[in-house]
Amino acid sequence: MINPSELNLSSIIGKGRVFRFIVFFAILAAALSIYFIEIEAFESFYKFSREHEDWQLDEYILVLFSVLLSVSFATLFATIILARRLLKEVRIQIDVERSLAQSRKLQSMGTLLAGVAHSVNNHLQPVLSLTRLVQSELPKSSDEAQHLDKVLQAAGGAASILKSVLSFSHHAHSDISGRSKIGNTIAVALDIAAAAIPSSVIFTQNIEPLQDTVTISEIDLEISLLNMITNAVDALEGKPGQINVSLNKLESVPATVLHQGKMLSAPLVCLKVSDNGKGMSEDEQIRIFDPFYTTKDVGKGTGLGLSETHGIIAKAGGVINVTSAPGEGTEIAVYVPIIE
Amino acid sequence: MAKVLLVDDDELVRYALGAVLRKAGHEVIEEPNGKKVMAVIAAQSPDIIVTDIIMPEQEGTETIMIVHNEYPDLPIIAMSGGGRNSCEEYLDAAKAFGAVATLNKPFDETVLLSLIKQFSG
Repeated sequence: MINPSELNLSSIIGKGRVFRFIVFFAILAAALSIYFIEIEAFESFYKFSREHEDWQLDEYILVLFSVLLSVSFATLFATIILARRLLKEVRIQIDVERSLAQSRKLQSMGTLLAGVAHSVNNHLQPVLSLTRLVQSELPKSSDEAQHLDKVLQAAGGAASILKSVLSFSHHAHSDISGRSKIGNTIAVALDIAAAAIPSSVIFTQNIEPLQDTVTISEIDLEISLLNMITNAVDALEGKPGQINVSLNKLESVPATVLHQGKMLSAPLVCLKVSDNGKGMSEDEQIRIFDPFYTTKDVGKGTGLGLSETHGIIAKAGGVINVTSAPGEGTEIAVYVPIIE
Repeated sequence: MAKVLLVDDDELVRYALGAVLRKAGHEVIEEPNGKKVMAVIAAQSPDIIVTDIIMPEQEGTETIMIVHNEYPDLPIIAMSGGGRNSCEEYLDAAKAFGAVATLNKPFDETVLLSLIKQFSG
């Protein structure tokens, strides 16, 4: 399987610098060739005109020289434009390939995790059932019964994580179920999320009261937004900062949106959560949707939040775009098609 | 008390649920293979079946469909730990094929006991 982090200019067209040098020298060689051909042609023509002064060819020489000079500049200019366009197309191709590789990777992980979750759920059933069976025969206040309480807590915690894993896995595979009016649901989710945002954070909202429907259930939409906001809060690392949430309707798909190999259709809604926290490197951005990937301290996050959100949005035919830079903050933009 | 046919390829699940059901006073017949269920029903006439969905020899949904066609009055409870599709999808399929109730693993066995009480008459 292709590792998306390996997809870059260097891996596709060799070293990026080498490519740029080749383009530069090609342009230079073309320009010099044209220049020397021009000089040669000009000198030949000049010599010819001197030999036939009686023909009065000076004006023609001037016109010819001007034409050759204009052509050489136009050629140079066109070469530069074409080289830039080529570079841009290569970059777009790389983005598409990277998104497809990411999508395939997440789907494979979904299959793997579904298998793991099924097996572990089966193993948890006897753990929980037999623990409760033994516990029911012990005096409630006994040390043994209390120890078994801890066993049940631990097994319950494992079951809860598996539920999230299965959620990611099923969203990575399944199609459509559940719909919601996005404006109302986001408003409710923001009320819940507001309680989790520390007072040191300036929380701003720019929510359009949309009545449009998307193919995400209310609960999944709430989970997605809460995951995004929780990540934004964590990115501030307890320091004062700013988080902004916006919801807008778009009549066409913006050219800047990375489609990730999908046919994204308009009209669509754009839900953005941005923060001015610690931001992420390019490598971190590539791995942000991997299950169990987290940059948080041990014990502060399971790493399932954004992978779960990715699954929910993908299921609704949408995409998530991440813009981030270390020290400058992060913007997570969700684009989801409207169905009615 | 009911005679319960417990079908699951996982020995530990059969052991644990068997122990719970026996403690509650039920008679339990354990069967790891969905393909042998019809023979067991014919030989032992259980009051109710509790079956897993994902099993190697024969899927639980197929077992439910076959049993329900032959014994439409025999209640079947389906259980699943999920898989490539969600637990809900498997269990919805089980209901469509004739299961009277469904359970997501891991479940609280008191729920299973109350379902058995409800459906085994």
